[in-house]
Amino acid sequence: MGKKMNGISRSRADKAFDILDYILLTLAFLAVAYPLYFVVIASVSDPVAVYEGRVILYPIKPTLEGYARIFSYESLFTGYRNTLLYTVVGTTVNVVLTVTAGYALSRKELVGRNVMMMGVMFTMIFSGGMIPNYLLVRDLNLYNTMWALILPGAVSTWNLIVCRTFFQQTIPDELKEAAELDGCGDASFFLRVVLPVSSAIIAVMVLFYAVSHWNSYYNALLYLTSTNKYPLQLVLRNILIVNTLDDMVNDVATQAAQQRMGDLIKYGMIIVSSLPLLILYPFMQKYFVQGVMIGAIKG
Amino acid sequence: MSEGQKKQEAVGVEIRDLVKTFPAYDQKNKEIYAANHVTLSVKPGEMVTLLGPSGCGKTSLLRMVAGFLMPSSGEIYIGNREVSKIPPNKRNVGMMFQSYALFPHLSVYDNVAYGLKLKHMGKQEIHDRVRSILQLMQIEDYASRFPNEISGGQQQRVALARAVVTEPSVLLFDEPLSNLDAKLREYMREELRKIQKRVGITSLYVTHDQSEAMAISDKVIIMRSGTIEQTGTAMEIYARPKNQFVAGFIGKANFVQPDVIHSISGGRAEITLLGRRMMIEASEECRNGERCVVMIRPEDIRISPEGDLKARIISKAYFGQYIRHFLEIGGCEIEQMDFTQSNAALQEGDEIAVSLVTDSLRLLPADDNKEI
Repeated sequence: MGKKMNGISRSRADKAFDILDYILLTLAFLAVAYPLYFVVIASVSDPVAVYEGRVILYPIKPTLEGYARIFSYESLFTGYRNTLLYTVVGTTVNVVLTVTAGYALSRKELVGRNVMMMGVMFTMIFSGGMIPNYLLVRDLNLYNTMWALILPGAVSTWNLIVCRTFFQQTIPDELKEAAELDGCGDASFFLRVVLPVSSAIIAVMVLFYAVSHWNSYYNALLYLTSTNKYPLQLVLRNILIVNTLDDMVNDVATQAAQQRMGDLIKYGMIIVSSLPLLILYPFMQKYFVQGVMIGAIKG
Repeated sequence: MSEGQKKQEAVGVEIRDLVKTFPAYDQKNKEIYAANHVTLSVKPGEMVTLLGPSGCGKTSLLRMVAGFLMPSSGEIYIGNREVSKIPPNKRNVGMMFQSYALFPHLSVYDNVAYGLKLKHMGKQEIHDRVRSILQLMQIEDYASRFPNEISGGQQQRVALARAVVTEPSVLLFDEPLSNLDAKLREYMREELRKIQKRVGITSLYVTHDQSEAMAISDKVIIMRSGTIEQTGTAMEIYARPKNQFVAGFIGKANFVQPDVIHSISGGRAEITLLGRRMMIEASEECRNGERCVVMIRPEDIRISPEGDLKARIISKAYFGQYIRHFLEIGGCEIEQMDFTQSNAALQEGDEIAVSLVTDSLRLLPADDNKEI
């Protein structure tokens, strides 16, 4: 900033603009990063200090009591296992269906692709709603099974459009024709050429779908009744409820202590549930940006 | 198929009465002809260029030979085999695309080996053939690189290597030089021609660049609106174009309305042009009573004090190999190219004398389509 760029000295207005840029970006960074940092320090601080608002920059009276309480629930590990299973299986189903459908819809030679695309787009604007979806899941005998969380949302319209746009822009007809001359059929071309050159979009899809499965709890709340099938988010929600609402306790002091413990558990839970994604995110970030950009270029 | 190895047995291509129509977007029930009863033949080992403006149907014709486009009617023969209804991979044709169509995730070696692997050839045979073709194209040092790690010219060689490694009967080129800069384009077209001659594959080449067509082909086919206007060697077409469109498309030409056409017969015409009566060659398509123009190539106007025509220099530009003048002769604006450069001192506005090389003038049917 302020230095010569390519041998050309910068004007005062440019320098002022740079300074303003840095200030705004720093504020934006703090607005995003501080809440995350606060959750981390609050989850290991004395609940009273958190409650009194004394935890601002660093943990006060560090304690792992909240985590100890969270990990004392066996259902947490079952939840983790279930979420991992739903995320892996669900993401696999999502990615396979979305990528294959996106590729097919990107090919000009697919007869009726515009009609199909209109049908797909229709679902983006109008959906059946919660009750018809519930009835559908029940009638398909998916109720209280893992598939109730996976099949109804197997293909996201938005992701399908992103995929189709990617293939339209990156796989030219000539590439297909060159392979065709060599004797490569449609399936072979898809597997040998399209997939290897589409690692970026596949990574984007994996990221989008995996995050969505990991964070999802509403469908589980609707469609799952057996607690041993609950995903992590639902388990954590139940732990939180158990630790904050106990109508049997009449003592005000005990109620306040329980409330503070509930807060501590809440912060710990945010960390427990987000940690895997937080660890993965820096590595996947460039694909995430790429995916957003693909969607932004053309619908 | 290494250098010095004997050429493979070449087969010819024959297209008979080929028609391809597309629906017109702007008018209902109207069809546009990409090929309008096209008939042509390419002899074994010959390199033939389809030349014409955008939308003339040259690429559609090439794609029909490749099998990517189904003709509405007509027949395509490769050798003695009628191929118009068989899939591209069964036609034994190779194709070099405008964008090269290299697989970005494969190395140069794997790109070239791709077609051979799909034919389930043995590893050693694949290796030998790929190495040999890379050597022929002088890209063996880049075998392990990826397409984005080599230059445009090298990518083009890889594309050509991939097209010929499977030893196709016919090689198709779809404007393969259009993505290169002018200098490299000139160099590569010579290289392409050398390799084509060495390998001896029958080739069909599509371009809209007339100098490329002239430099690279045994035979040039000029196309317009889905029809063939003229077929011949570059020299034949340049010297004896059939009509105004062809004359304007190959090389530069001035078209001047003769004062009087006295008679046309036996390929000759007696005319009065710019006040001078003369006998010149006439296209066989010229008819008595129909509108005709005289083609004057810019190099067929000589500046000399003995010239019998008076001219005034409107503008002048220096191009290194020649000086271009725009002259006003008898009320017409005419382009002249002076390759002798002996009149370099002439200035705009100068009155000069010029003469026409009447042996090179040609009477052509006037083109009222103006699609030049």
